[in-house]
Amino acid sequence: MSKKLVAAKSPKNVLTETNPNNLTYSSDFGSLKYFKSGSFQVILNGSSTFPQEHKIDHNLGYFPFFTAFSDAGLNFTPLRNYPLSYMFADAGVFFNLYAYCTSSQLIFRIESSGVAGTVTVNFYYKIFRNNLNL
Amino acid sequence: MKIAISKRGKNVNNLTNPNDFIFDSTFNTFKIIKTGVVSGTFAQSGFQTDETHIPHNQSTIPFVIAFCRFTDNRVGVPGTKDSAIDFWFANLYVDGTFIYFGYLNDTGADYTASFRYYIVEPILL
Repeated sequence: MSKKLVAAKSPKNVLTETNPNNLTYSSDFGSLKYFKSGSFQVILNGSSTFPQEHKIDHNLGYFPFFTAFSDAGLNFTPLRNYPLSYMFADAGVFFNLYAYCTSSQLIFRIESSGVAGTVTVNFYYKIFRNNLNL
Repeated sequence: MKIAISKRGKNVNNLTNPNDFIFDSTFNTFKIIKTGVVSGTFAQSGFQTDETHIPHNQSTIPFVIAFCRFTDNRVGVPGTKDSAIDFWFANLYVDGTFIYFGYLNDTGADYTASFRYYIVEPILL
């Protein structure tokens, strides 16, 4: 019998529980392992050109599991963060935000028909060590 | 009784902020129940979405996360597209039986893509 590490949710019996929904942790199942996280800002105005890309190096040598969010420059109170990708379109104006990874970078792409005034867009990301094996 | 591992420099015996822990068995963890890859060549269909699907073989509607590798050697989540041409990973959805990978191929030709999916616990519904 192979050994493993298991923690059960209260009041489940860790010695007999097999349903993963009743466990807080089991070494039988993979999980996400943090590598790098961060945030950055992009300031857009009437002179900005699109599409534009902003790149974060990870240099893992493979496609990693990642998550990315943005406030889309909407400046709501309370703050809203949207998981990417994000798309907005209205009256011929569109604004698309994407996040991709390559084997060396996390890339944030902004596509837009143009912005009025000055817009500050905040981006947030988490990169994990998990290899997507794609 | 619990298992806890604190971040370097923190005293595991007196921490309460979950951000100071590497692991704390008090909190449920993200568990990957199953993962796999769906690859295919997807026919040109104009500016309309289409989909491919696979059975997930779970007893409830699972929580699913997926990524798509495009031929421009980028990987994106639902709502992203090839950076050069109009192949979209349009959407991802799941019902009691299948995981559906929605795409849109308006490139003018067949397009080859691969989807990596994760079925995770906690369950979605």
